[in-house]
Amino acid sequence: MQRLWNRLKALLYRRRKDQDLHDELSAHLQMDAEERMESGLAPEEARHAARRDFGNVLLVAEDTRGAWGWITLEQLLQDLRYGLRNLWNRPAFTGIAILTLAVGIGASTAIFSVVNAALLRPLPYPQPDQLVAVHSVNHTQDGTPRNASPADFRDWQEESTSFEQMAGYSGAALLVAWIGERPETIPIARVTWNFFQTFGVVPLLGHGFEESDELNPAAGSMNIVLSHRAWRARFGSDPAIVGRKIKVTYGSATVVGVMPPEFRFPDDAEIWIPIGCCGEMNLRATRYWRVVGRLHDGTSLEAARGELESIAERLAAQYPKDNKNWSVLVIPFAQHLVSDVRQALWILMGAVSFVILIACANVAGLTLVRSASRRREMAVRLALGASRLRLIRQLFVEGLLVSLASTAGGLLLARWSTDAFFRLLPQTSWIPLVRFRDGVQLDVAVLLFTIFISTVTAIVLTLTPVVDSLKLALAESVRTGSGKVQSSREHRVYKVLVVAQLACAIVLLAGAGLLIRSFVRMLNVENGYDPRGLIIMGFPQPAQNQKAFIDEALERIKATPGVESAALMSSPRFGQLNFPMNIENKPLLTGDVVARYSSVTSDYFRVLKLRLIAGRLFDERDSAKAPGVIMINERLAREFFPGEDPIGRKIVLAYNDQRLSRAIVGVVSDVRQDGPREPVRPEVLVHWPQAPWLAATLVMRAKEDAGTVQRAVQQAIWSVDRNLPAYPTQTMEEALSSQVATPRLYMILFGVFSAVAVALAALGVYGLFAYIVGRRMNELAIRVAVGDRRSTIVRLIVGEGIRLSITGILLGLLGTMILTRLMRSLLFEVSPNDALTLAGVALLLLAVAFTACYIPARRAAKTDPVAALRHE
Amino acid sequence: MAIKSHENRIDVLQGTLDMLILQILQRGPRHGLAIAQTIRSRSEDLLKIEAGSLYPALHRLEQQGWLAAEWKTSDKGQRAKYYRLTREGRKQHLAEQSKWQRLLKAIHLVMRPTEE
Repeated sequence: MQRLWNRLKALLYRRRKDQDLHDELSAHLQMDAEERMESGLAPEEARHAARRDFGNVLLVAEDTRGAWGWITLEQLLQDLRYGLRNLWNRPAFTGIAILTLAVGIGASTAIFSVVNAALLRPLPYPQPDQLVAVHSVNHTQDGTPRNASPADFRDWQEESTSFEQMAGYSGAALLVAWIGERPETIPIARVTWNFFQTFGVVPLLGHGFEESDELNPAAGSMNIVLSHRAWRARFGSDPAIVGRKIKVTYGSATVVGVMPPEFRFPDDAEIWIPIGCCGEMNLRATRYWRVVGRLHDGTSLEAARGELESIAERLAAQYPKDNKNWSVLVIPFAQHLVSDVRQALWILMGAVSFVILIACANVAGLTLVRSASRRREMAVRLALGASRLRLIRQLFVEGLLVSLASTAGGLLLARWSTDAFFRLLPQTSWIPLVRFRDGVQLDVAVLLFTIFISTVTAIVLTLTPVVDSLKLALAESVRTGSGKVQSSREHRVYKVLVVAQLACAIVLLAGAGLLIRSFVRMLNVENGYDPRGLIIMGFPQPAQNQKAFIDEALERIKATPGVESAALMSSPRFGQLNFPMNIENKPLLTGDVVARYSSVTSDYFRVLKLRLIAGRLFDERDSAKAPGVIMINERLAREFFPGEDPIGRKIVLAYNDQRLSRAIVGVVSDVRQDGPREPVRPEVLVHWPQAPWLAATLVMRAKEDAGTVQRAVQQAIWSVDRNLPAYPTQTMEEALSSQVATPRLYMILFGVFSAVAVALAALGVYGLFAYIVGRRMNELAIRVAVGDRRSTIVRLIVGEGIRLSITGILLGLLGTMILTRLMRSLLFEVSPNDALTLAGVALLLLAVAFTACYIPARRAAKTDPVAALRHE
Repeated sequence: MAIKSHENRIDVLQGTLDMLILQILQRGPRHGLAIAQTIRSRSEDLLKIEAGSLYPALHRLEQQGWLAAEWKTSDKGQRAKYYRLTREGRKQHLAEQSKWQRLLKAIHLVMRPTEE
């Protein structure tokens, strides 16, 4: 306490204390001199002797001030001022260093904030570790996790004891509601009554569902729960919303609760409605439910999996037709949510750490050059009695200043670039990364990460010149003045830094090259149809007289100017439904297989311009009353009827809880149902009048501008029934483009990272050679003077540059071979070691490096030898 | 620490300068020069304390509250800064002294001629 007070006092009375110290030391000298005079020395001599004995007065004063303690602060301010001035006076160095590091810090902070939001932050539910996702899985098929069937879910739920709660849900549906004047289509999720309890989230207003909601959706009336988003945007945050009745397609819905803003799952759902009505719970073969469970406190995931597996085994024995070979997969819910982005994000994190590595190496190189040119300053300061510690502190302060400035710049950049990151993606929630958009923010974890990165850069920035200056022997430096003595050792650190930059750059460049090639491959994938002019439009249906409405509406749509052809299909994309099927009279050994299923009107094939390979298309003969017919795609024909004629054979469909037998009338060419990375799946198509689906999607080919045609078609639909809502519309080209939006994002990010990397590496090479040329100017001048041709000089320097670049590139290629293998999952039909890509990027980088060292080399060759020598 | 060891002068052990100063000031206030001279004469010229060590040490001890300082006029009419021991300083001196005694004894024990 006393000590602190003394320090504080010292701080306050600094000036007085300084004066006091000065007086004290002069008194010492004065008294000493007087005593010496008394013992007989001449006054002049006595003063000298006293002085000599005392030593460096300034140094003694400084050391004494050091004992006061607060002086460090004082000196730090001094160092700060000096450092600022120093940096200010070298704007080129300072600018490049700050910019380089800001880019590195910004990019890594941006990527980390996405990683943090998606992978690191715990789920916003109580005890998130207890939440698991339960999938059905068939190991005799491809073994990928699938959804569950309602009947399986019910059995799991009833028979298992590991779970506190187990809920099922099914998303991606639309509800038509009349809130205002016009009907609106609202994205909903259908959920079991205990859905909210499973997550452990309590409604903000009202209550959640009750068991009776699920069992008894009295015809035309149901209970619904609103998301906070829907409550705010669609109902103006009405505080009396609970109990309000809303008109919906098949009757009315009563709002029973509103969820808090944090709860948004599944992501796009604005309203939750009960699932499991109307015999749905009896479906066993159709697997379209997702299942989330909350484990009992203390129950392990393995125990739960073991229990469910044995239940699944029993179900497989009990229902061999539907469940043979089907088992379960239990994974942590957090993992389930990010399964599609986890690997890509870690790869991006790895890529961005290369950027920061290059940035650090680059700035370290710059600092090295700068500290070499500051040797004289350092030497002079040492000779004047500055302590080494003080010099190191000075360097550290300068490093810190640069790192602070670049951290500030980096944070700004990160903020801006995460926005840009998400702007590169279409804002549809089925694109995996978009889900995490709202979670991306500068929270504690991100800030800690940034602080960590900038501390590392500050250390690198400081350490390089410190290591360099520690080697500096005082005497030698004074002797050599600016240190123009050539020593190859001196350049070695710099050369290593440049080689490292080139090596890192080639890894990124190779990654970018591979992604670009994959992307081009993806764009060139054969879809099986011509997407130009295709429009996909949700097709609303009235509650009654659907058949009449469809006939009338389709008629008018086809008559609409600009429409070439139009058809209805059962899902918003081609063949998105899954139904188990088998072949009649010759069942498959593996049991039922899942095939894609589409119900289409007869013009479907004409709209998509598909080729009929065998048999015939659907026509008027295949009416609702006629015997059931079916068409198959080429893929199915090849897989299940190899070398046979499928026409006339019969397929059995496990359609809901019936088994329907249908005769094959035609084989049609393949349509790629999923994204370009997915293979074409076996598909069956049925005729709409024979098997109308609950929801319909209009697919049409426009001869004119999509927007105009779409508006005209909307009017045509409204001319039949004015009370129908407008449904979302998309052109096929947009849809295809958003299918590849995520790979495109990865490609762009890698592209940007590698562009930065190449630019920095080029800067590094350029800096090294500009420096070497500068240092060797004398030698080069002498060479010119004694008759070496200028081209020899250029060759000498460029030759060294090429040697260095090739070393870096070869080392980098070695690393690339190992690292690109990790990104195999992001590649499409391109080998991670694709020779063409690797050779291409190596040549590109070599060319860049060549240019970067050619410029200083040529400048060196052009210098007048006399001027260069005189410079010394 | 004082580092001037030509001929038979010896380096002052790390940390012992503080103790020496406390010891000298036992006998009353002194200024810096007088402290240095006293140490030198009492050690029969074996210890020479440099200003560069003395003043930082004095200021450090003052900072720690073991010394107090005030400006006084010397017998010869010179104004100088006189240091004196505080109560804390006396306690510290006792502590240092006993520590020193023990150290001396220990060194003595180690250094005595070995008995055959």
